[in-house]
Amino acid sequence: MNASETPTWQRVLIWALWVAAGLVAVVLLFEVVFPWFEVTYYNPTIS
Amino acid sequence: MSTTVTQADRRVGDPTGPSAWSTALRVLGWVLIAAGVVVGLFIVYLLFWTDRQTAAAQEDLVQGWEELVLPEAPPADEPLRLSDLANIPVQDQALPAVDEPDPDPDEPDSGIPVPTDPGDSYALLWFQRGDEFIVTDGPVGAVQGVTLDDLQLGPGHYPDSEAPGQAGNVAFAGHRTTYGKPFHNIDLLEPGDEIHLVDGRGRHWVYDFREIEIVSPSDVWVVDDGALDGVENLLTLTSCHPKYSAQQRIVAFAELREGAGAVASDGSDLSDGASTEASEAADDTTIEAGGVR
Repeated sequence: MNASETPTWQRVLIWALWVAAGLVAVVLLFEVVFPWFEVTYYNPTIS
Repeated sequence: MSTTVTQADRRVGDPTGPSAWSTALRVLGWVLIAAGVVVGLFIVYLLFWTDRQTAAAQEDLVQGWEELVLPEAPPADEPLRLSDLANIPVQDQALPAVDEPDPDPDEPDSGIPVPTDPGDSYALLWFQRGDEFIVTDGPVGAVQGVTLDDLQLGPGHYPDSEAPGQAGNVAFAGHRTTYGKPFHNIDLLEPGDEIHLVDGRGRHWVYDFREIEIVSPSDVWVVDDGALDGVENLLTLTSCHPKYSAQQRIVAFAELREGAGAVASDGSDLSDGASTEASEAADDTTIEAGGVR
C-alpha cells in the first residue's frame, strides 16, 4: 500500500503525532536542556 | 517483479536501492538541519524567552516597592512615572558603614539595612536624566545576591558590598543580555545622570554617575571600597561587555550625592524632617523576605 492509499485519518494522526513530538522536544529544550547550557553564558559579575 | 529506482539511486550508480553512502549522507543532512533548528531555538531562548521569565519576577518586585514607598501608587496596569517616584524623600547624608556580623533589625536609624536572604527583594533602582528614565524604561527591582539564580530575577546586590547609602562601595550586577537585560544600555550613561536607589526601609539615595570603565571579569577591585579615586561613597554597577558577549565587564561608577546638593533633578523634598518621616513610615512595612520567589 503506497502513500496515496493511506486513509486520510491515518495521515492526519501521523502528522499530529509528529507535531506533538516536536512540541514536547521544544518544551524539553527550553525547560531542561537550554537552562543547563546557558549557566556559563553572560555572567555579569566580577569574581 | 518490477523495481522502483529513484533519481537519487541512479546518481550513486545503484539501481537496486539506496547505497550505504547515500543513506549516510541523507542522515547527516537531517542531523545538520536539526542542529541548525536547535541552535536557532537556543538563540530565541536566550534573547526572548529568558526576558519573559524575568518580566514576571520584576512585576512582583516593583509591585512590592509601590506598596512600600508609594501610598498613592498608580493602578497596577499603569507603569510607575518619575512624578510618582519624586514623592519619595531623598536622604542627604551617608549612613555609617556597619561592620556588625549580625545586625539588629530593630535599630532602623543606625544605618543597618533590612536583613535579606539571597533572592529577596533588596532595592528599587532607576536611572534618570532630567525628567525622563534612561537605561531602562522605568524602575527595576533589585534582589540580594549575584548568583545566576538571583540575577534571573533582576539586578543583584553584591552581598559583601555596602548597603545603599552607606559609606564605602555599594555594588550591583545586572544582565546586559538575557533575563530582562536591565543593564543593556548602561553604556548610555553620561556625567550628570542620576542613579536612584530606594532601600528596604524606604530610604531614597541619589548617586551621580561619574564614569564607565571596561575591565576584565576578574578585576574584583571595582567592588572594593575606594575603587574610584577620590570618591568615598561609591555605587558600582557591573555588567557584561560588549553586548551579547561576556568577554569583559563594563563598570559604571557613581558617587553618593550628599548635603544641600542632594536635591534630585525631579525636585524631591530633601528636608531632614521629610527624610526621617519616610524612614519611620517604612520601618514598619519593610518588604518581607522571600516575597518574590
